[in-house]
Amino acid sequence: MSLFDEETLRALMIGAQNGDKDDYRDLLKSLRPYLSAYFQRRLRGDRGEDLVQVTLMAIHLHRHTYDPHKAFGPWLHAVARHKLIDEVRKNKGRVYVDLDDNLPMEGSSHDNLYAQDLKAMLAHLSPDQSQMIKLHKIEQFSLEDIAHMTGKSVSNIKVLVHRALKSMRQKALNQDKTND
Amino acid sequence: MTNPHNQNNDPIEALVSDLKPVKPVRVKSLAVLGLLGLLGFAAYVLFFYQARREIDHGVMSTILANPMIWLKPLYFLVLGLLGLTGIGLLSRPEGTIKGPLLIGFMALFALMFLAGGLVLAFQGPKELAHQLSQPFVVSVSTIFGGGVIFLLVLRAFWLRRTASQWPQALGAISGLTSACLMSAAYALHCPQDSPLYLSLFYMGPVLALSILGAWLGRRELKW
Repeated sequence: MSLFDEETLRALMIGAQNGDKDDYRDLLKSLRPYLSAYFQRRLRGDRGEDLVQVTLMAIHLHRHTYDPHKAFGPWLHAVARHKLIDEVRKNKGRVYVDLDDNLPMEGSSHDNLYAQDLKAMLAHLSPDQSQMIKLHKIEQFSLEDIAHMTGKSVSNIKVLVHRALKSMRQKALNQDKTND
Repeated sequence: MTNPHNQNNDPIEALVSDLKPVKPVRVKSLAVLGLLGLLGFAAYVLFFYQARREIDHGVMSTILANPMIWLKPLYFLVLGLLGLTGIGLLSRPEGTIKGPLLIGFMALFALMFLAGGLVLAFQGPKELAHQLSQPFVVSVSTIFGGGVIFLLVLRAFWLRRTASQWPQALGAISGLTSACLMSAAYALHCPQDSPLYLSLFYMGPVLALSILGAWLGRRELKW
């Protein structure tokens, strides 16, 4: 069975709403690894595990907001996303990006080289532009989510991303010319 | 047999042991709440203030003589119904407001303020002074006061059971809906039909309650 089986989870959730403890236990046990993977893809360190607990608690407290006539996935993702946004907001919009601090050595992987290039590019951006690139292009948050997290308008974020990309492109072109 | 002490240490078992059956939130209950609120407001207005005199002449003749007698309550009723729909959508974690509903809100607001603006542009400050000299305190206080009461009712019977990704917007739209339902009822009594008057003394409390609702939503609807 894949980590997320919509029909099974939906049936378990309906059982949980009706007070069936076995269904509820199965539901929470099925959701735990799924949520764990969901958060670990987006956060580093122990924060993912903490968020799983927080999300399970939110599911418990707000299980009455699930409409049994609708799909379970969108409801679950909305709860998980809400808790993720809260977490990111508490950390003032900071997300961890895998960038290796060591200089690339002979035989380094391409990933490290890309990471170093990216880090150098981001260093030339304003803090706002750098944050938007990390959130939108690296962490793959939607514009609406970023607006939610940072309090900026969607159009403002679009402008920041556009200018950041333009600036990075220019920087890359200048670098190529210097190398030539 | 499982040791209960171990059960308490396992977060999943702790949640399972706390499980009780719950009634899923239903939009139907919100609709009933809105209908009761509207009927309650209408009964209050008709009992304490009485309906405007022209209404006694019958619906058809008043529509022909002055369509505003019915268009005014209808406008706020439609705005209130859109608001109730918005509350229903925003109350669940996955809910958002998009498309036709948002366009409906913007169109109705634009219509009112455009009409008010045109009156002001063509009739000038004299008309503004005239509207400001009208007895508007009762309009403003009734719409605002009634709106606050319905907002509190909504908070007690609906909002506290919601889990919105947009608590501030949910609060704002709840304030707007409360004021609009009260405005629809109050419009049955109020003889003032000028769009400028409506823009100032009906939409004023509507916007004020939306702001109050947004503030309440930010404070109380976070989860």
